[in-house]
Amino acid sequence: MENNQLNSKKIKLELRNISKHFKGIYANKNINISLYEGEILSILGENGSGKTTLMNVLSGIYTPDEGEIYINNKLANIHSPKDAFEYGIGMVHQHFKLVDTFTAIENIILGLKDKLSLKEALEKATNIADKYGFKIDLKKKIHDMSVSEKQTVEIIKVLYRNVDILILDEPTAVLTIQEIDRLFDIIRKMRDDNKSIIIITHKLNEVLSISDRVSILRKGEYIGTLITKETDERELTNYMVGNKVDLKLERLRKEATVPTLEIRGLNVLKDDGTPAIKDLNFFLRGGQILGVAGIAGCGQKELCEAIVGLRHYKGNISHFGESIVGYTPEKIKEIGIRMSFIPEDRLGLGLAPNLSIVDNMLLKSYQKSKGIFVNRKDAKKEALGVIERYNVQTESVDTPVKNLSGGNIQKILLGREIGTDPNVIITAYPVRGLDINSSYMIYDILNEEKAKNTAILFVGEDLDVLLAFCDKIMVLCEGRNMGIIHTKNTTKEEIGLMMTGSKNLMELYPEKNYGFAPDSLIDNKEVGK
Amino acid sequence: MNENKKTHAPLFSIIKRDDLPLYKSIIIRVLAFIITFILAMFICYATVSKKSDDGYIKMMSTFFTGATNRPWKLAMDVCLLLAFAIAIVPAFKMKYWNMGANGQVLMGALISIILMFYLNDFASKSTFNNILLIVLMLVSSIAVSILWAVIPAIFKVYFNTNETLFTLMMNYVASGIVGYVNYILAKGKEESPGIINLTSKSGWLPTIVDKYFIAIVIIILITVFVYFYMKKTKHGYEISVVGDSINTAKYVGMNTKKIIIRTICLSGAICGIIGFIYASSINHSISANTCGSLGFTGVLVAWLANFSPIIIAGISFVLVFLSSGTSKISSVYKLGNNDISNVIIGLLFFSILICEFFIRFKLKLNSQSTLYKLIFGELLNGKKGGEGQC
Repeated sequence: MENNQLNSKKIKLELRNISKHFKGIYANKNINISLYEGEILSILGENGSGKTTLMNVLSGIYTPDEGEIYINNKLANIHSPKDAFEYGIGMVHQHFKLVDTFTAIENIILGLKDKLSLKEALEKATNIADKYGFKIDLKKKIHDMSVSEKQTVEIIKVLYRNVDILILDEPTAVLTIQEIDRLFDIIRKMRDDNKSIIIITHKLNEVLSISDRVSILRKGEYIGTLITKETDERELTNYMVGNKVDLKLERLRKEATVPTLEIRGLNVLKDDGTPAIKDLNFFLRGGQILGVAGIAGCGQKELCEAIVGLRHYKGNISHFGESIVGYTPEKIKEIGIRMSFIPEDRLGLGLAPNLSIVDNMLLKSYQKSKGIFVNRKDAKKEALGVIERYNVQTESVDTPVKNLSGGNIQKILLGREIGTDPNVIITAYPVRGLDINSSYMIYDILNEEKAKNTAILFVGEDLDVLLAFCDKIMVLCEGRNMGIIHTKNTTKEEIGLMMTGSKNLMELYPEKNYGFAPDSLIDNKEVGK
Repeated sequence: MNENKKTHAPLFSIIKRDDLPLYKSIIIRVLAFIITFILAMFICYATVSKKSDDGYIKMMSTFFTGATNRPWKLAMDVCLLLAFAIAIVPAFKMKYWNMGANGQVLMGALISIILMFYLNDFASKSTFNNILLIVLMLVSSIAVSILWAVIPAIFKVYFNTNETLFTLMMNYVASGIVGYVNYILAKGKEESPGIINLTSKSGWLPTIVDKYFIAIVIIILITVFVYFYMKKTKHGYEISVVGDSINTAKYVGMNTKKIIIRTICLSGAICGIIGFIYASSINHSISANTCGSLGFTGVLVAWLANFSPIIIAGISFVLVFLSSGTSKISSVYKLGNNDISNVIIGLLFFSILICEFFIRFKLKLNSQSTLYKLIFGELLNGKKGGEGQC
């Protein structure tokens, strides 16, 4: 039925036997994908499965080594993004390519040769925005915009160029739940307008909710295309990873120990001076994983940075009852608090991208060796250990870290941090952008640490993972604590309500004294003064 | 859709090379130098032949005598350029764009000149006093140059000012101060006091083997020191981390402010030693033009050598060798000015750039391109594929 309906549609785009290799390794091998007019096609695959390479071939950034692209059943010669635009193909990249100091409309018309005045262009762009229901001020400068507004500008920019094939690379990675819904509505409107849309993603629930068909890639090879309505999460996963994986996350059952890290009355500011964290109280126990849920940008980053001494704060942080207020990152590392933080830019914090794996291993240990010289011998041993233990794919220990894939970079970072035997681990989005196998390896590493009575703070974004993996969840809403709950006593819906601030356990049950450990190690008199 | 549109496939695609073996990259560099040299001689000959009937051989011998008749002078010039580039390396590795080496050297030289001028009587009394003066000069040159270098660094670290502009500006301030001090030392009679202590030679580095010998040894020692400092020490390691990712450096507990200031002090200290060498060994006088544009040429050399002290030494040698040879040619054949030397140095930089390009990338002929089909289509007679690499 669905099949027939699709077959009656015209084929808009066809990729025939596309191959592309780098350094002798195939990123894409004999890929055949077709796209109908007026449909949403998801391209699903793990990291390194060749999704982005394929889309870069389509949008003219790479030239394929073999194979042809047919548009409207005619051979297309695409050698640059400009050619792609001429064929009506537009791509919205994961990392936006906008000029920060220009307004939205200036960015939209940038590089175009048509003779419209700014006013006429504004009118045209406004019409496009109205047609699909974008809400945006086109005269606003990019640097004043939120991430979702920037994405809107990117999409309008592409639509302005009259494309009818739209490629969106991981469009939801940076959006909140509400923003994702809005984006999906817009994408559906575009489909109804007979445009063809390709979405690259590795979030299965999104694939199922938005797309008409799913094409799956694995290790650069084309696995097959399924009609979304006829498939489910399990089938897609199996196709994506090849062998059956159990979707169930193990929550390690074990007794928690003493409150290792206690935080009272924490107030942290954002870079722009506005409050990020307001009067936050909570504690971490050894052998327990505390999840942190919240909409992106509601203080998670600032919270982590404050704990590890990278950001100025007001309030009290105690480690085994000893106040560590005002400690430098160096001193905090000494007492055993480690952070693995994955902000948008994975390499920004914790690793030096151009340095080798060995030199990155050295980062935390170079000061321990005696004398003025750096001891690279031990670091090399350590690097080899991490590579072997976590199965890191790399040419050698001297490869610059930036040349590794996302999952391998994360393994190096976590491997190094855990190698120092910490008693507190602060980790934020540790599996962001990783494929399923790498993600599970990271979860396993964290569980191993939990078994060793390490206290773990796990800032996450996927509620299913938080619920399955953590012992307790603290929900933040605009920097405030909405309550801390045992994962076995709650549901996704409840957490969702708390994230948006519609439910505040702190106000509902003030007698529960959330965030204060009954067996606190802090001498209460000391906190008083 | 428009079907008659043209699409342009370029004739060559640029592809990043995987690791090129070291010996190959050395061969490429040597070849580049030989080709540049031949080209340079060709240009020289084209110019010279209009002025003189001397043959190619004669001109070549003029070139070589120019470059080699004073080997110690040649070595000193090479070492000077080397020293400037080496002084810049630690700062640049940290992505601190120090454009003020000229000014820092000038200030270091200036304090030595002032000490030489006023302590002449004291130093003339005994050899011990003279040694004392030389040590005093060295120490104060280093101190003053560090001061000159560290002012922009402090502003950078605490107020996040732009160090490129700040250090550049400090050059102008330094040359202004040099002009003024010269005026005072010459007591207003002339523009400058000229060569200081010409007769007493107080504060001059003694002549061992050669006038320049001690200075050259000092610079070679500095180069070796910087090489090991950057490669093997904890400080050098910290510099590379700060240069690569300052947030990571902070996170692992490095005191980035301290590291930046400490590194700039090192850079300034090397400039101070260069200044001391100018005053005690090379010029024994000072003017705003004392170091020419070596501070900037040094930046170029350091960049082109990818901050490797060994390659810096190589490039410095080639550069100075070519330029002193061509200077000789332009003076012997009365070419009027030294422009020919500048042309050839330009040529050399150009060839270094091209050879670095081929060390990092390779070109691949694109069989899809229209141009390729036009050129090779007939020859290959429809055969597909065909890759050329160079």
